[in-house]
Amino acid sequence: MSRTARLVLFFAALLVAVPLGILGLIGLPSFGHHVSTYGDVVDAMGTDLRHVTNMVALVTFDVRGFDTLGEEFILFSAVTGVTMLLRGDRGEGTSADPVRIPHRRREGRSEAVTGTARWLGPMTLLFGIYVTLHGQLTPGGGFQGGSIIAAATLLIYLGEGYPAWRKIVRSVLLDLSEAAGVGIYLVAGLVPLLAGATYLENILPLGEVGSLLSGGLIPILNAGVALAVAGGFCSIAIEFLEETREPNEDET
Amino acid sequence: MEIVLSAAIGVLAASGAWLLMRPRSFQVIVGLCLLSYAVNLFIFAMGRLTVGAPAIMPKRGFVNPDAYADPIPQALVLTAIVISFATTALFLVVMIAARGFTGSDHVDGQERAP
Repeated sequence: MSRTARLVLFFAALLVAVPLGILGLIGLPSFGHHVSTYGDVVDAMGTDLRHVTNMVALVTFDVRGFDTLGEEFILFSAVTGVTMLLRGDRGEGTSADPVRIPHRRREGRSEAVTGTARWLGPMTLLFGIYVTLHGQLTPGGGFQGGSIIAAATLLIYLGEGYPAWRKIVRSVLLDLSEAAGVGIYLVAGLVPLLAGATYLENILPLGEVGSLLSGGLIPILNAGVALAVAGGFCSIAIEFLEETREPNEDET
Repeated sequence: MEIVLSAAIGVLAASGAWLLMRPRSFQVIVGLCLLSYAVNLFIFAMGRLTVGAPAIMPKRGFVNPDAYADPIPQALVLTAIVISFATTALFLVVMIAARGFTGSDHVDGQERAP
């Protein structure tokens, strides 16, 4: 197609698209203003219906729980793709030496960094578990808690170095955590079918508002998502950092 | 507040769209990231721009929806952030693999002939 023909086509399309776009923008509510009544209904009825106080967790794991299942599968397939493409047939045996870049000095790790990471690592892990377990009560949940747990394992890498990190955080554990997380979500949705309810319907005892074991299915799904997110994020980090290592002598 | 946030979203979206049309695959990935930030912020802003309105309800009693944040956009953005992190990692790996195969990081697989 010649340049003139493309320009003619472009302006012809513009002639249709611009008025339609302006027509669509007229009548929109102004930016930053509230439009949805859906959210208001969830806010007003959520605590009574499901005995949880965090409405975001209620929407993610109950009202729109099925969407989160799809989201879990997207995360799972993306992590699987990363692992398959990067792990290859190299296996887990990688040396402690990072790839040398000319003219860049290699500094040793300062004791302050190691000390701080040793203090912060367990506390970050504990905080991640706390955020996950209180997902239905306070801001937080599986997604946030899982990311914090993954960050806690990265602190081992920061403080102790790559070999120690690989020794503690095994790839097989991460694969297991990722698969178990998605599996828990899937099976927790299937179990209500046995009782004659619909998929992912919250039929478990709801417990008392404000207690750790409230919300029925929501804490279980939270834990599943936390496992999947922590395993997924951590294996992505491990696979990428493996690329920065010199191969061992016995490897090609 | 509205002006600042909408300007920020506009800048993010414009930079993302510009980077998407660059010839290097890394720039395309960064452009996708910026676009997803813009969309996330835009969806997030749909839930009312106020300060000090959490989506956490009291244990019992009447709830006035005006005093609390809309949880729907927050829940949508929450999952979108996790998905975009994982897919960006996948894009990066595919980019590395493509560069290994073709020896070039041009989106067409080879540099344009001069």
